[in-house]
Amino acid sequence: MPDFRNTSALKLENIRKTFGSVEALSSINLEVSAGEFLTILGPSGSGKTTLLRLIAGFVTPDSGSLTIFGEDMTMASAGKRQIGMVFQNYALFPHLTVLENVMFPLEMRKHSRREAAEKAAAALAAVHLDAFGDRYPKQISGGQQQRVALARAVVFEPKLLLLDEPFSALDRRLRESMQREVRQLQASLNLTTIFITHDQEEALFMSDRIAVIDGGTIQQLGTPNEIYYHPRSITVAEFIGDSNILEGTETPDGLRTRSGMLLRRASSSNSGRVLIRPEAIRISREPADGVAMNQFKGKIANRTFVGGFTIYQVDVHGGDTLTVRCLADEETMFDTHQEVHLSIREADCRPVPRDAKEPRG
Amino acid sequence: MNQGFQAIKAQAGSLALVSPALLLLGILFFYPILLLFLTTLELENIGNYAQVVSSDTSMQVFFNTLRIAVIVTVVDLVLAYPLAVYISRLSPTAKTFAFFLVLIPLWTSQLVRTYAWMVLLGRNGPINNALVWLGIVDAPIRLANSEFAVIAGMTHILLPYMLLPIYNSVSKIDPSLFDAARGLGAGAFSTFTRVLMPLSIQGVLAGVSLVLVLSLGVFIMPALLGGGRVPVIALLIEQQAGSFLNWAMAGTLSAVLMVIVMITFFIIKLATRLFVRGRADAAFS
Repeated sequence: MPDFRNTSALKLENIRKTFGSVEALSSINLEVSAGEFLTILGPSGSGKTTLLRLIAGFVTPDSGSLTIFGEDMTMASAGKRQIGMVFQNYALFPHLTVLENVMFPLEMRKHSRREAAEKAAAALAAVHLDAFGDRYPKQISGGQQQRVALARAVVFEPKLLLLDEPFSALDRRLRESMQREVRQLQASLNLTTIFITHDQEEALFMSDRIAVIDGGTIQQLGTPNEIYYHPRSITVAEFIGDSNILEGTETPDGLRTRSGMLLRRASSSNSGRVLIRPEAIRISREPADGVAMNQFKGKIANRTFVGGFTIYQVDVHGGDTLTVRCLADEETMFDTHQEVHLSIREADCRPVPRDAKEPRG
Repeated sequence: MNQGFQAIKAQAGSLALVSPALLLLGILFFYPILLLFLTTLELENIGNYAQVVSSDTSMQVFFNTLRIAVIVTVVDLVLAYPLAVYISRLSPTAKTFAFFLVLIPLWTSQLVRTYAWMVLLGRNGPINNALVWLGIVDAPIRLANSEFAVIAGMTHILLPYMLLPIYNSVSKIDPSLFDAARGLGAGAFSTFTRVLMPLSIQGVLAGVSLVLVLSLGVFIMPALLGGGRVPVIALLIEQQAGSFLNWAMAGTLSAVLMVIVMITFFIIKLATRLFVRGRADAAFS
C-alpha cells in the first residue's frame, strides 16, 4: 500500500477572494496531506466559511489555484470535485427517506438502484443507523440526522471530506461522542478531512493540524501542541485557550512588566511580551521549591469553581492580576483574600512574537 | 368530555366570528347561483342539458375554452417557475421591488390592462411598428382580435396567480439543499427534478389549479381582444343571458362549466396525492 501521508490531497496557492470591496480571503496558502485531519479554526467573520465554500466549489477565487490530488480544480464545478460535505444544518433532503438521502450521490453517479441501495445500507450500518432507512429526516433526532449527513458524504468514496461546524447544534454529551465517532470513521477510511469550526477545544481535540484563520489570512498552521504552546501571534494566543499575556520591557534578566514584575525565561527574546497559560502557574500556601522558577506573592481576588477545575484571579503584590487554573481539590481550596505563593517555571513563560501589522509598544 | 365541550365551544366561537362574511356570501353569491341552477332544473328547461351536450357548436366552444385555458396555464407555469426561483434568491430590497412589479398589475383594473393590450397589439401599435421597422414584416399584421391576443392577455393577467403560490413553496426550501445536491454530483437538471420540483410541487399544483380555473371563466379578454373570433364559454353565456335573454340556457351552460371546473379540481387533487404521496406529512410538518 502506498504511503499517502506524503501525497498532497489539497493544495491552495495564493488564493484571493473579494466580495465587492470586502476582501474575504487574501493570499491563502495551504497544503493538506492525504489522510490528514486538518481543522480551519477562526472566529465568525474570519473568512473560514468562504474558504470552505471555495474548497467545495460553491465559490470561485479571484486569483490563485486549487489542486486536489494533483488535479487543477480551481474552476471545476462542485460536483466534479468528488468532495463529500456535511453542512452545518445537515441539508438532508426532507422529501427523501434516510436511505434515499444516502443513495442520492450514488444515483447521481449512475449506479444502478440496487447497487446504490446496497452501498447506502452499508454506509448507514457504519454509522449505526441501519434500522432507520425508511424514516424521513424530520422523524429522527439531530444526532441521527448528522450521522445520515455523514453517511451521505462518504458513501461515494469522495477524495475529500468537508465538515462545516457539524457539531454546533448538538448538546455537549452528544457532541463529544459524535466527535470521537467522526474521528474514528475518518481514520478507518483514511479520508482526508477538512473541518471548519470556531470552537478551539474541538479543534485541539480532533485535528492532526490546525490552521488558525483571521482577517482572511492563515495566522498560523501547526499541530495542536504547536498552536497551543507556541502561538506565533497575539491573535492566536488569545483565541486558543485561556492566557495571561504580560507586556513590558526586556532587561538582561528577563522581562520587566509595566507593573514591575520580573519574569525570567528559559530562552531570551525581544518581543516584550510573555504568554503564561493559567494551568502553568502553581499556587501554594508556602513558597515552592525548585530551580528555574519565577516566584511571586499575591492575594486571591476571586475564585470560580467549575467542577474539575478551580480558577483563581490572583493579585500579585506589586504586579499584575494573573489567572490561575488548577485541579479542584476540596481539601486545599484557597479562599478569597487569602495570601498565596505563585510559582511559574521559566520554560512556561513563553515569548509571543508581535503581529506584523501591530504597532510596537 | 369536558375537552370535547371546550372544542365545540371554541368552534362555535370561530363560527360566530366568520358568520357576517358567511351571511354576505350566502345572500349575494350562493343564493343567486342556487336560484339560477334551480331554474335550469325546471321541467320546461331541463331539456337544455341534452341540447348543450348534443350540440356540436357548444361542445366545440367548451373544448376551445379548455384548450385556451390549458395553453395559458402551461405558458404561465413555464414563465413563473424560473421567475419564482429567481425572486427567492434576490436580496430583501430587490425582492420587495420585484413583488411590487408583480403586484401592480394585480391592483390595476383588468379592463385597463386589456385596453393596454389592445393598444400594444393594434394595427399601428408599438409591436407592429417595431416589426415593420425591423423589416420582419412588410405591412402591419393582425395581432389584436385573434386567439393569440386573447392568450397573450390572459397569460399576462393570470401570471401572478401562478407566481405567488410557486414562490411561496420555493422560498421555503432551505437553499443549502441546492448546494448539497450540487456537491453530491447533481447537475442542473437533476437538481430540478430531484430536489426543487418535489419540494415545490404543492405550490405548482396550487398555481396550476388557480390559473386553470380562472382562465376557464375569463370574459373580458376574449370579449375585447378576441374580436368575436375566439369563442369561449363565458362569451356564450353572456350572449344567452344578455342578447337572447335566455336565462335558463345561460344557467345550463354555467352549470356545465361548473362541472368541468370541479372535474379539473378533482384531477389536480388526485395529481397532488400522486406526486406528494404520504410524504407531505414527513417533509413539511
